Amino acid sequence: MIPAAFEYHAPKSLEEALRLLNRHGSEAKLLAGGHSLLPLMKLRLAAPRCVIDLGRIHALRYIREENGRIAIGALTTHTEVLESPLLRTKCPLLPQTAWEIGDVQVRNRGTIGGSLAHADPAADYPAAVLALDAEIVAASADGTRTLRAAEFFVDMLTTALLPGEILTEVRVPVLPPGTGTAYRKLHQPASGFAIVGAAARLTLGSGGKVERVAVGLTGVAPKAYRAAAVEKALTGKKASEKLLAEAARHAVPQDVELLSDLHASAEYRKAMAVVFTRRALEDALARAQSKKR
Amino acid sequence: MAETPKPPAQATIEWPPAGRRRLIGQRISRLDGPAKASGRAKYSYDVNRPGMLHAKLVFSTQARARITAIDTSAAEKMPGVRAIHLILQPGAEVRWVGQEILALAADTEEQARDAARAVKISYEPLPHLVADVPPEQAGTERVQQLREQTEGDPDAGLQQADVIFEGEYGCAVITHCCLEAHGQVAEWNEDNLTVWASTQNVSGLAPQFAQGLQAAGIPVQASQVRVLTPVMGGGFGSKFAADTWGVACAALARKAGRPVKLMLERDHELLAAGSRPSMYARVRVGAKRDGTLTVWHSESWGTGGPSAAGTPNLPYVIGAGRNPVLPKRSRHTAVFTDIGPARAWRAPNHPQMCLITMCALDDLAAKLQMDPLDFFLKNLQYTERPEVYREELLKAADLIGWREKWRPREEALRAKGPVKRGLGLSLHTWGGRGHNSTCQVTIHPDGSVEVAIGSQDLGTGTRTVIGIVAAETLGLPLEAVTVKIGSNEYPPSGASGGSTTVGGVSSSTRDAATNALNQLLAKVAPALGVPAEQLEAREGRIQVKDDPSRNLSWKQACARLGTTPITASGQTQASLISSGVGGVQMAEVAVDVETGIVRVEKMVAVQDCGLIIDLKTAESQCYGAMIMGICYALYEEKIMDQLTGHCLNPDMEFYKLAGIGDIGELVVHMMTGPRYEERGVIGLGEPPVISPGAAISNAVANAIGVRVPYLPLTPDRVLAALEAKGGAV
Repeated sequence: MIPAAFEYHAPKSLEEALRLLNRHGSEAKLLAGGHSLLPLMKLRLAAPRCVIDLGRIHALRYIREENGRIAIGALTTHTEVLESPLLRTKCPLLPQTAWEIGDVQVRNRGTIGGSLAHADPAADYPAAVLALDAEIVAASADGTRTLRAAEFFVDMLTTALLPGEILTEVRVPVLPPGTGTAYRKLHQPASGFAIVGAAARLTLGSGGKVERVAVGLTGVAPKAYRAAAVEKALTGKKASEKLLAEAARHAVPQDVELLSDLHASAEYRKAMAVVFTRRALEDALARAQSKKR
Repeated sequence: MAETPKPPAQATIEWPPAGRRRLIGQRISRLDGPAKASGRAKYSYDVNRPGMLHAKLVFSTQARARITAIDTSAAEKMPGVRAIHLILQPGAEVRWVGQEILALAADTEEQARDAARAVKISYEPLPHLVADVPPEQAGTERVQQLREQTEGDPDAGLQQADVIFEGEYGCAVITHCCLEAHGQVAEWNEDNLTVWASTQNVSGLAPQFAQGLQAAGIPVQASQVRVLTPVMGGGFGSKFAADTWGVACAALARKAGRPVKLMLERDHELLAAGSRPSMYARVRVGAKRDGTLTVWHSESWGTGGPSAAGTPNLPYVIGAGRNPVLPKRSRHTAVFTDIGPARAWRAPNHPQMCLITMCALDDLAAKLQMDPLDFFLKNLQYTERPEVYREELLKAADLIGWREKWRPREEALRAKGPVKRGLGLSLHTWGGRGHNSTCQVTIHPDGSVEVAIGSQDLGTGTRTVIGIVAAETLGLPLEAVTVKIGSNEYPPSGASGGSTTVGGVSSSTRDAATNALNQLLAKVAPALGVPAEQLEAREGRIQVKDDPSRNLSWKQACARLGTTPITASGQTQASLISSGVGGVQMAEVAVDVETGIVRVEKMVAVQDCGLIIDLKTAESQCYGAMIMGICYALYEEKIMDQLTGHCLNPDMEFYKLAGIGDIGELVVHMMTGPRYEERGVIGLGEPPVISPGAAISNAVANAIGVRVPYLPLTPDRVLAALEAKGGAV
């Protein structure tokens, strides 16, 4: 339960962190909360020669509205996301998702950037950022670039971040009127990770028709994904309980490789992806309707 | 030679009658509660001795194999390593992943762990079986038929039945998962050994240590071994022995000349420190149209590690009575597996027998379209205690609101929304009596009182019960008595198993305290001018029975002892204790038929256990048992991988226990008063843990209209059962 020896750095600025990362290359790991990295190190499944702790880069800890979007610094904790009045009013899906992460201690320590960069297949945020069409900003010595959430998750524990890049910011949209969102999750009973997590965002247009809908699913496959077939089955149609149930049946496309482990078989995961997609859509619809009134 | 005067005829020892009890039967908080809650109580785990080393075990990574070589050369050179002790030698066969091969001790825990990793064991693998398979798939060499039993005329019973139900039921292998792992600290002082052990058997461990150490070439006698267990954190039947790790710990301490601590790691605790055998059965059970049972047939089997693990007696409770006899035929077969040894698990065999019986009967009631409450009431003549069960069933039904809430299976499923609710019930029984216990009570001239018993408190309240009985007998407040247990230097008492402790220690304490008091009364009788028989101890005084105004305070009375304390001993008294209890439990569950998740919303336990010494700790036993029951009903399973032979969930994340949010409302009602109390004291450790599995399974069947045949009732099993039935609606 004691990690192998490692070198520890605690840079105070992003520039310093990037320099350290460049210097140590693949022998370095970034620490941004530590809920995944430290257990791996204690179990000696990971033994980085060097740990760069981003925790003192206070400039990466913010939630602010900019150019019609909400920008969230990578080191913002889950609790800060959960409690942000700005997000709660203008993009409640993120706080709704943060509420379902771990427990109070985990939420006080874990960060949105750390969670996304780790890309655990059972993490919660990936479903939400996919459903929000979020942008993810990565910085390197050469400057910054912006990735779309849909291209960010590459595979299990693998993102589109390049060596030498640090995830610095997540940008989510200010949701238009008539939009309802929800995150519904089947918890792994002991760890609280998502066996299945479904994030839904649904905007109602005229005549109760679904103008725009997005569903992100986590826990089901090696990486989180958008349930495009569900969205297609709903868009432009008049929302009803029956329609949602029928659309949710498309939550797991043929080409998705299902996870299967001690917590849940592939079969059970698939069935639950349908159930929780439907439940998330039902909640999102109810919220959209209540806002419409 | 002078004739020895005959001792006066001993009056039969009795419990004080109901109206005369001040402490017995009250709700009294456990004496060690504050020490435990504040962390001042020191468990074996907490014992740290000057210069103490830390030991770790190296255990088998093979389910079955022959050890071809043990190479400790690298480990010996590791920093801090002080001693290595081989438990098995090359050539030995290992029979489960987790079987202890050697132990080593180092200055720090980390050094010991590193050194353990550096030990190289070579194996010649042998074929293994770790899967929970029925006998026909196990191979003849792994199968042993243990029992075939016929009573009455089961063929005629089948003929007489109007309705016959056939079903299959069972429950998986689970582990004891003691929160305080097995283990101890061992320290030598010249040729004397002291062991701080987490044990249910403080008086019985010394000979085991002596024998084990002699076999390891260390000459020591039982009289040189002191065993201490001031408090301990759960055993549930798995902590009766010195175990290989106990002997290894003492041997390492001997070799290194330093104290050694060896507590099992959590993975090893789950792999090797005890499992509860599985049990499965195919059942055929029949009844008349009016619900009267006519016959029971069962073919059962179970896996329990490398040796056969107990023989069930089916059916359970219903059909156990002799008058009338329920015609029955039952056969049981044991399957030997390489999963680690079975150990007695709280009420050995009973939770399994209970599940199989109560679920089969509940399914038969459903087929008869009867309310199971009526069905069970109808068949109580087949139990050993019809009147007790009748009273308990009605009480439990009242507490859970059975008559208002119960709906037939099909109706529950028609409830709106994905969450369906259901009720289930179960009956259970257990023996009791008391183990052999010796107690010594000392009354000092300054009025202080000590009670010493070589027993142990597993967390059940034993310490408190002993104090209550002594204080009650001596007419003193509980605080006036010092209870000394948890050492084999005190008068010996049996191991704490089979719900025999309270019977043993309460009656030996009553006996010893009575004997000590009689000596004191004889001393002070002259001062009060009456014969000793006319005196009594009440409310801190020694007084004349007919004239309480003539009295001495306890302190004044004890002062008359001069400089010599009174000591008196006592033994287990058959007249104060009894055996055989009945209990009824009912469960109310909510099942999400879309996810398969079962939640226990409420459980009711109605339990008799004769004369209750401490109502609060008795109720606590029932609460704890229901929580343990919810764990094995919904979550616990030792998941084995046949390919590798390994257990896949030897930790607290994947071997899930209930958390506070999983438990629901628990209600306990203890049967007290006339007809119960006059039976004397009966143990309570096992009974309330027997029924939860069956009651919860029956409630789930009631909620979703179909039986989930096997425990634990995991979401995938619930959904599979629903699918087999053709869906939730």
